[in-house]
Amino acid sequence: MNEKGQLHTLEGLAAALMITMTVLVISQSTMMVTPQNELAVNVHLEQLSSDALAVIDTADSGSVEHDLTECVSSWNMMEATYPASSLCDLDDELSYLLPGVLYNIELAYFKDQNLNVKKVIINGPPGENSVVVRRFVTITNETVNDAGGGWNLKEDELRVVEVRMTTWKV
Amino acid sequence: MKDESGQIAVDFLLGISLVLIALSFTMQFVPGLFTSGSAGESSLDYTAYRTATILVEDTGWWEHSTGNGTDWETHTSDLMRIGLAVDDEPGTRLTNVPNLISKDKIGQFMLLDESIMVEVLGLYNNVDGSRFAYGYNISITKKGAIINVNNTAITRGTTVPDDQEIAKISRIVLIEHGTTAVLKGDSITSSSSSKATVNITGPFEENITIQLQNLNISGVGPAFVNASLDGAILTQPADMTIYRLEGWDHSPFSGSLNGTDVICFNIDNSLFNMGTEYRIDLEFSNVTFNNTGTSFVNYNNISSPLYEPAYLTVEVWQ
Repeated sequence: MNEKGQLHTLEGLAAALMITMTVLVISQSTMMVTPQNELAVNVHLEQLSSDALAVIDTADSGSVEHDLTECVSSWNMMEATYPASSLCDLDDELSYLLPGVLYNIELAYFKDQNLNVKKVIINGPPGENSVVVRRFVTITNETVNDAGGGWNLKEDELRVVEVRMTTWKV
Repeated sequence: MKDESGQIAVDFLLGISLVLIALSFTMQFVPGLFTSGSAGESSLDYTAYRTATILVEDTGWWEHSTGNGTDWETHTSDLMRIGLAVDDEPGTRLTNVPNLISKDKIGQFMLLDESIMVEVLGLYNNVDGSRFAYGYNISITKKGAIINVNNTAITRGTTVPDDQEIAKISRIVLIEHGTTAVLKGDSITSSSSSKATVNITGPFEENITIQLQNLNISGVGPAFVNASLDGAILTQPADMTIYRLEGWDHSPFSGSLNGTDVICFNIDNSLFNMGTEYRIDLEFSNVTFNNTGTSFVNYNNISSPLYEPAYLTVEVWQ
């Protein structure tokens, strides 16, 4: 009678037990917290970025030199070429609110049934763990004329522009 | 011949027993080594996030048998929820402005009883049926320094400990800081072609700010000359400060200007302590005002709250 194989069964059981224990210990220990902390960092960054746009949008002209609608209205329709920005006012106001954070801004809008996405502020390629926040503004011929922009809207035309901001930390 | 392999070796048995004994000893006698860290800490994260969001985006709510509204700052005994966002229509729930912080609500927030704070904001944890209050610190800062509203430093809770895991969330908010009147181009009234004139009725709790934009430059080297209150020249910095508004920044103003500048005159409120009408004249050279006459715009009719950006930070620890 061949009785080989018995020890292997016991070894297998012991190995299975140890693997289960290891997985259990690792999954319960503090090491698992790291990715969650990273998630919290992302949430924090996203919250700050969305606050920055909201604050520039909400502030009226007495509190800030140009609010978000005025900044977007003043755009001269030229895309930015790195490292120059084509919306300097917005760039200044954002960098004041978001120290230590880098961001790119794109404007997205419909014109003649086409979706246009134009880069207006470029600070480099977004890093890992970038977040995107957006805010919509409505511009009219009046706001464009007041701000001296190049949108060239009709007298009664409303245009909704999505301000899309990609932010990341270095 | 009988094959005897397959029997358990004694040294293997000894080895595995030792490992198991050592492992169970370690797990039992070093507290906290293998305890779950994720549950406790992430609930701190949630608490910090929730607290910051409620404070910044919600107006708060009060309610009793005959009434309710968002103006909890005047009904603190029936307080249901704390929130700091501005609301112009306290009877409705749809008119709040997120990120815009009300000065009155901040004032009342600083006076609230500690136990009510912890209870209403949910800054506690239930462990086996008994309640543990978290340590917390809620502050509003600008450029790293805690700001003052009505001469009170806006910070609640205790000092943040150095040696503990802390959940922290910052939000950008706009906080009310006095009032401002914005005058643009031809809407500026003037007593002569070189003097912009504004009537002001006192008294004020905080400094007032007059902003001039789109000035009509009419010569070389346009400049600000002086400001006078009912004929008396105002001095800097005792009576007022003048700055250019650039984005959010207040940059120093030397006197000479150009047409795109936004010039702000921040005038001390103690100059207007009577409930009568005062007159401010702002004299310029090489700037022409076209709206000359004898009736002047009244500051009180066109002023709106002046907001400045700040960070509301919530820190929570066990």
